[in-house]
Amino acid sequence: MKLSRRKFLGGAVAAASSITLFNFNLLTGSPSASAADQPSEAMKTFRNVCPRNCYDTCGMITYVQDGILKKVEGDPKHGYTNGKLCLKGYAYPRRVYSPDRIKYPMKQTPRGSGNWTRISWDEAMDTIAKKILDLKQRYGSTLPICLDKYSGNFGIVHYGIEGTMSSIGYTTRAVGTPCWPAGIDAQTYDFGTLYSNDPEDMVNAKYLILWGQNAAWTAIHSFPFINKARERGAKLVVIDPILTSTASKADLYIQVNPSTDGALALGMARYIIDNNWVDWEYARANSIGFDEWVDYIKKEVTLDWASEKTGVPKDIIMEIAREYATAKPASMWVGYGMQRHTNGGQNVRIIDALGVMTGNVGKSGGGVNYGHLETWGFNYNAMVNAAPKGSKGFIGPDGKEGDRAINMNNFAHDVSAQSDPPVKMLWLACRNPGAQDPDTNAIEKMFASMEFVVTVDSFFNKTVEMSDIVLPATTHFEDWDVMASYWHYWIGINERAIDPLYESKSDVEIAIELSKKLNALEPGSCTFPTSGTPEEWLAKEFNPGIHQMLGIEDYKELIDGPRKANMPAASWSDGKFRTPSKKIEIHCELAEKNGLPALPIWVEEMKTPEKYPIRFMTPHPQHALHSQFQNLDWMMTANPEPKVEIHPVLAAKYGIAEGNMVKVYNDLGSITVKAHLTRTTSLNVIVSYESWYKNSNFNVNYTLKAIPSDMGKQATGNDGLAFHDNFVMIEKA
Amino acid sequence: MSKQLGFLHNSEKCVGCRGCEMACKNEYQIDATPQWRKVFQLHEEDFSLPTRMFFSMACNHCANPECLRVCPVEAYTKRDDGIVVHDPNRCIGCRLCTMACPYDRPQINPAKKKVEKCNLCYQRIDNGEQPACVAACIPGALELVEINDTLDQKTGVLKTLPGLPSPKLTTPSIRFIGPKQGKQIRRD
Amino acid sequence: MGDWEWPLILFTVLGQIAIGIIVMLWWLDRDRDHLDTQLFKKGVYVSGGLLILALLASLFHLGHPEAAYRALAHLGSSWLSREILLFLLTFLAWINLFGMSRRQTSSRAIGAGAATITTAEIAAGGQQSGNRSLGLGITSVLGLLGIASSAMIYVLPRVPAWNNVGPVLFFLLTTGLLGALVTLVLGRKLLHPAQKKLLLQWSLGCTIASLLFYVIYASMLSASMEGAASLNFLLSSPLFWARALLGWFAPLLLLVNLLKNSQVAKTNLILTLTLLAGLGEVLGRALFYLSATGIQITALF
Ligand code: SF4
Ligand code: SF4
Ligand code: SF4
Repeated sequence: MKLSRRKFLGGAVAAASSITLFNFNLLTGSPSASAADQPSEAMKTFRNVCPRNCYDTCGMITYVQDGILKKVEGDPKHGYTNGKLCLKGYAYPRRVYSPDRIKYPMKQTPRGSGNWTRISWDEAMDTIAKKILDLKQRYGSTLPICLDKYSGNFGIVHYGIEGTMSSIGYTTRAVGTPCWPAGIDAQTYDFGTLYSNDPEDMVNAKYLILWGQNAAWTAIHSFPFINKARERGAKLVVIDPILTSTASKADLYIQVNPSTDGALALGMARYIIDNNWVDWEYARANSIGFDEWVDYIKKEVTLDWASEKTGVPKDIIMEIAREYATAKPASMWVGYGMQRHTNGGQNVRIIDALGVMTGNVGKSGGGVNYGHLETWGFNYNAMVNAAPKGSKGFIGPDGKEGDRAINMNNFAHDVSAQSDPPVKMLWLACRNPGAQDPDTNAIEKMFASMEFVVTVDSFFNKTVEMSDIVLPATTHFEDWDVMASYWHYWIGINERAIDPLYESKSDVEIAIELSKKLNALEPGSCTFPTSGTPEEWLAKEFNPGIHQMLGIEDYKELIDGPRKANMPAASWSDGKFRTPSKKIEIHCELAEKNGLPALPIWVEEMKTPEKYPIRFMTPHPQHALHSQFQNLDWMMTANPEPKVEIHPVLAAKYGIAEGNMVKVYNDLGSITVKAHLTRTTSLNVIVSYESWYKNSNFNVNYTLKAIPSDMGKQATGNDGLAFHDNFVMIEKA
Repeated sequence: MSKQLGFLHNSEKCVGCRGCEMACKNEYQIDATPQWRKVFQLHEEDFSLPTRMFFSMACNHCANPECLRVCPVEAYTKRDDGIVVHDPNRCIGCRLCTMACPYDRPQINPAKKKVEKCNLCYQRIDNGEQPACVAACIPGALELVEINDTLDQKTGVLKTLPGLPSPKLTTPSIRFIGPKQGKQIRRD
Repeated sequence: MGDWEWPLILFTVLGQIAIGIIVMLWWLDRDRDHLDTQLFKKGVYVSGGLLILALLASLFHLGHPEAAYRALAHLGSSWLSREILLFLLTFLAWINLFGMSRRQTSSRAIGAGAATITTAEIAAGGQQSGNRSLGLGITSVLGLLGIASSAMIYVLPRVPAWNNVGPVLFFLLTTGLLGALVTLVLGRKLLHPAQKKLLLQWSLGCTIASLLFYVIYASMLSASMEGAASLNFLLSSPLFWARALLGWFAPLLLLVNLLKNSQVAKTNLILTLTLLAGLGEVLGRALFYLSATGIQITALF
């Protein structure tokens, strides 16, 4: 029987909830509210934390009545997000009760046909378990099974997804992070790890540079702190190839040539040296190789060169160099956009060095702030499971047996390249490579070559469309979890506010089901524990370190409100760097060993190919977080269709007018999207914000090559992706 | 003159984050189509330099509400504090108010076939709370204010912005603080 | 730009024809012997039928027609409330006419059996006739006020194209033109040639006035941005030119022709003329809604 997904819409639960959710009597206070409409229960509130891949990781208060989520609010006890959410946060009720949610396990026959049939959890688990055992038998190991999990839900208990794989044996794993690894490595080489100041400490800055960072869209809760600093007299400088909403608010906006941020920082450094605004004392006492770098600059860097390279006039470089070096303290926030280039990590290293040279590292109100993982010291209990006895693994170059790591950032290629044994089955959770990976055509081809694909998700996205079985995931309102941020210092608990809707299960619950099934079919084939309530699983993530950091004795104390880690406001204020030398390594041997320059010197940016002279930038959207949120009806009304921003001069050259459909293409692929003419972008850069729109094939990654950024291997296992070195041609469609 | 509540929107502070828009939807779980509050982007041609500048607008609780005047069922009432309340229980969906309001703020809900609009969260106000949109605005760009001469005499307080209908039509209870542009170093 | 407001188009045009017929009957009845009883009956029936259709059509415009009665609630300032009230009163007045038409003695065919009519009958007939005229008059006045209220609904400060005498004028002209033409059709066998001629002349007057006023109105539109947008929309719309052809130029030609050649008896031509003018008015009304451009927020979103 051919069952369309639509058949499952408007189930009893959805109908009931939408009726109760929309209650006009609430508005009018009219006495006409019938008895049936009377809520039988007082409003309850729960604490939740937004688990998305986002700087702000907001504390939320969830209002629940009669088991139905009525609305969400910000948690006023959260000192950074301060009782407010962003537009995505406020759209959550629509995500929970979306008629498009995946409600039951379903199978698609054949894959890609859209012919979905509802199946029971038992059938789903049976099919999956048998496939796993079959592959293990055919290939002698579970290595043909490949996991791709990343940032769909950053809750700590969600590392149970990795745990699911560990518990069945050694598997193939997509390793790396697409978003920010070049910058992570840069800070790892320089300081030993990434470790940013408390963002609330930005209020103490006398000068603020947001470098390739669009806080208005991606970290809106930082604005009160930025504004506070400005009220106290700080100047806000935004450096970005795109005049973003954040840049529009700046005292000074600098439209830098993409990928030349390092040259700008070097030009500034040169001027700072020339005027002897260098904090020699700090730099020499805390770093190694500083003088060597100064010599390099004196020899190789001129303001004329920097100006030529970056497109920024000399006097402006001089102005910001003077202001940055003399306003003490001065803070820099390095965004993730600026490191998505083939020289991105190197550019971050140069900016780091600029911070060191002016003595802004380790200072309150200062810092070269990129992100941190200081508050992530949980047990990852759900993640660690021993492989079943007798499991055969992959022998790595170091001779150790274990999982087989492949590059997350070249996933399609790397999956296909495996031969001993080949990858035959994919398990996807918290990840949507169909929308987010480079070279979408290659992804589609690779998926088509698989024997079996399982995806855990909440919506029928592009990856689900390419799967055999989809398992319905809970939303974070239906789970127990704990969330830390890679930006602020707060940690919050996430309560189960409502029961899991339909037949959805959390990743750990899925692992438990799978373990039961596998062990029933072949005793001993899975080590994942088969007991424990969701709250018990959460409890197992805490340890004395976390307790101490948060000043609590029991995780339950977090139910009273999120806690801020007990850490100094300024990172590195103790001067204890985590590099091999324990100092800031301006000269970094580890970098050199990894084939990179030892010093933060200029590395040429990727050259624009002649055939494809236009840079296609695809930054983070406003109404979505990657492929999450934009498909919801509220978002589709607010932002109904994708656009590509084109400078009017460039548009005129190709005969493109406002609202025309434009074909954006290169040798890899193409997309067609509506033009919006605006001078917020620069002459040779077009911009379209990545997103997954409902009922749309729009996907910015069709033209994106899997070109690696220069760094990432050291700390994250693989180099990043040069997302913003995407070159294309345009024509009127 | 009696009291008139309204909004003060500061385009200098507003970053166009659209939090207010969604906070409103969240508060009342409004269906997708009617947008009680909406954030608009000003045309960059209206500025000396290109820019992304915004204003956020819901019902303006006008002193001369056209919606109220034309509505045949008296679904609209003006409270003593100036809030123009629309009662969907009375609405028969004639859509006349949607034609009459220059701000397109009363909108038809196609599923319910009735009009809806912002009622300035009067229940929240009556409880001593801020409207949901105001409470949600992170940079503090949106305020609930009393519209009066004292406000209008403050420097920088504007009655309209480019791209808005003339306030003469309905005397809207909204005031603005105009956008401010910084310096730009551009390559075009 | 507006939408295809079918319920409103039908309601206004049909309602205006209905009332136009009554107005014409009243006019023809100004001297009691002029209005043929048969025509009176026919006119009242057709007018009533159209009025009911119009009111039904108007319900389709509402999201909640079941609660339409509530529309009477805001007579203080809502022209829509006033319109509904006046139309309801018109309908009541029509019911009275209907009753009258049922009671009215059969037509006194000219010259047939005159001798058998008693004085009492003549007196009764005279009495009937007087009531009839009064009934028609009251219905006409209420109906015309209703139409004016209909038009006033659209006099919105927000819509420059409507915020003037245009709506009232054009709604009344439609009433006059289509009322006269439909009455002509209904009375094609019952009207005296002189009456026919009068009605045709009246129609010609309405058409010329409509065209003239439209030209003046159009030239006024360009004064505001939104008005100019409306005008632009009109001039570039093929519908508008169809409307001009069907509703103005063709009727003008036909009317002049009919009057000049004294072909007042040519039923086919009159039918064609009525059809064309009717279509023209329907298109015109559709365009009235379609071309409405309100003053609005022009910022991006
Ligand atoms: S903004 Fe529109 S809906 Fe609100 S009071 Fe004014 S006219 Fe009425
Ligand atoms: S005042 Fe309340 S109803 Fe009006 S826009 Fe704000 S949140 Fe929405
Ligand atoms: S929430 Fe505030 S800053 Fe954001 S769009 Fe609304 S008014 Fe502007």
